[in-house]
Amino acid sequence: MKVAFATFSAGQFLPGESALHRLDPRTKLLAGLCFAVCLFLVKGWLGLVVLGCGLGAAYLLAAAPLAYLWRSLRPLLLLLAIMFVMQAVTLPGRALASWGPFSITAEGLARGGFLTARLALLLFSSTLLTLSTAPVALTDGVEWLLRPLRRLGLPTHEVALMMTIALRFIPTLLRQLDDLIKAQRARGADLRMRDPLKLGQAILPLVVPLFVLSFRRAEDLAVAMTSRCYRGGEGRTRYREMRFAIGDSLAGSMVLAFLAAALTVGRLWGPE
Amino acid sequence: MLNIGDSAMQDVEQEGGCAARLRGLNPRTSLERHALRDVDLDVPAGVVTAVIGPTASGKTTLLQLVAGLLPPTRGDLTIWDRKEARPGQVGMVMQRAEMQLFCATVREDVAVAPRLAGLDGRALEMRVEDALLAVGLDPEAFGDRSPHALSLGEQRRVALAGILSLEPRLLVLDEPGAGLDPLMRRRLMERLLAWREEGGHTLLYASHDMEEVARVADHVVLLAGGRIVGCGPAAAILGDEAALAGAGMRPPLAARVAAGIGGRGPLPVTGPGLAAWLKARDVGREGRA
Repeated sequence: MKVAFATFSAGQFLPGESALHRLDPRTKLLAGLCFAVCLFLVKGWLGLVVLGCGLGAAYLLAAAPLAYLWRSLRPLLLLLAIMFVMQAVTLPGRALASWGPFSITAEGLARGGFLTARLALLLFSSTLLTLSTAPVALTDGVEWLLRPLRRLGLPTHEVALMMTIALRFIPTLLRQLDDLIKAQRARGADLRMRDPLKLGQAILPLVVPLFVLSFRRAEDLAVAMTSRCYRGGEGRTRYREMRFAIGDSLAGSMVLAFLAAALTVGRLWGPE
Repeated sequence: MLNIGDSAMQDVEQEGGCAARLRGLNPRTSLERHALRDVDLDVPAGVVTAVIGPTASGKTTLLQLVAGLLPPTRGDLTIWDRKEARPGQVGMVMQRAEMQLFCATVREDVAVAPRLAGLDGRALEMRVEDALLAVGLDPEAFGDRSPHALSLGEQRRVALAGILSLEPRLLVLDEPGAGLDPLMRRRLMERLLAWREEGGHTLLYASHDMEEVARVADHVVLLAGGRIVGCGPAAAILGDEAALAGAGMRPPLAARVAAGIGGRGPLPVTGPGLAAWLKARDVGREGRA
């Protein structure tokens, strides 16, 4: 069904040949991480605007359709809206409109808008990362980034493998969910989910079989991996070797320079 | 004078008519793996229609279109001359139906659809028991068990009962026998046919098993590459070796045997038809001798 599919399509990989696609996943991961940190370090609108422009430039580089941005935002639209309203209503200040004990304040509106914009940018940056990086490359990158934690006894290879499998299963389970929705509609169930009270009733027929199926699939996968002699990360070689290229150091330094500039602008000319 | 009610009269009139009529129907394609284009099809009422075709030829899409599960972007679908099927009029069991069970007991699971259609109390119980009996499950023995603890064949039958309990006039099945062993498949099909015979229901189903189709279908729809390439009486379609080969299919054994012993024209390949044909042929031989 349309609703279910549209909601879960965030985080999709968009195969391509752009400069962004060709970067090493580790470069992109680190850049994304730094970008996120900077998002929370800048104080005023100006900083956000500068960061947003930088992100926009990266989007142009990835040659991604704008629809992707919207799709990444859509599932969290409600959350963003709630956050915005909460800020607008609860922050004390100059009241613009009152309704019972609540009043919308100018400060609240500004603050809410700022936080919403920040979160939206965060979403956009992660969308850019996932749409320009194949899931497998992404988990390879994550595994590499987690490597220092191996010293502390964290099974980094297993964590990365879990991520890969989870990502791989998303489209499979989505297809299954679509079938389940159709099957329940064939039984006369109304799954348009208009009525929040009936929502629980409506999703139970979807959740139970989906879980049963996932467990079965997980078991099958475990058997299949064991029968192909999979035995964990120790001593494994890689089919895809990750290599930092000149492009990566170039992109890395550009991002760092840009973030430093944005941070300076954002810290020096912030309103708060 | 006979006193026939209006609805009964209608039913009589519709007998031999068209259960579902598809005209220039196009499913929304973005999410469907195997698109089907501009479907024109009449599903005759009161008989068994089989949909055959190689994998990925659009069988599932076609069935879901008829069952109203795929919103069409263009074209018309009429169910017994109405734009919209009445609730419970069309029932569909999807592939791997055993994956759709979710209630704590078999009885509850089978009751979901008729309850949503507005039944309750004794009528609902009756429907559930009838549906379980129709698929060969004893309501006493199976009714209170968890559907998840049953064998594959039993689960499949419970899922089937979950739609039979709607008493749909048009029942759509997507490969009901897939994954079952031949004997179980045959029994399931026999039960379904008995159920259909008894209630005069219309059955539209997809199958990969040509022998089974030759045995049970009155009417056959042949799909290839997302298009309907053949549609007509079972004997005509299953006997047309060239058309079947064009779609990447082989005729059923009966048709091959008939062709091998030198039949001409459209071959009677369904069970009784073939017997009659052979008999007529023998008579002809004796006559000549």
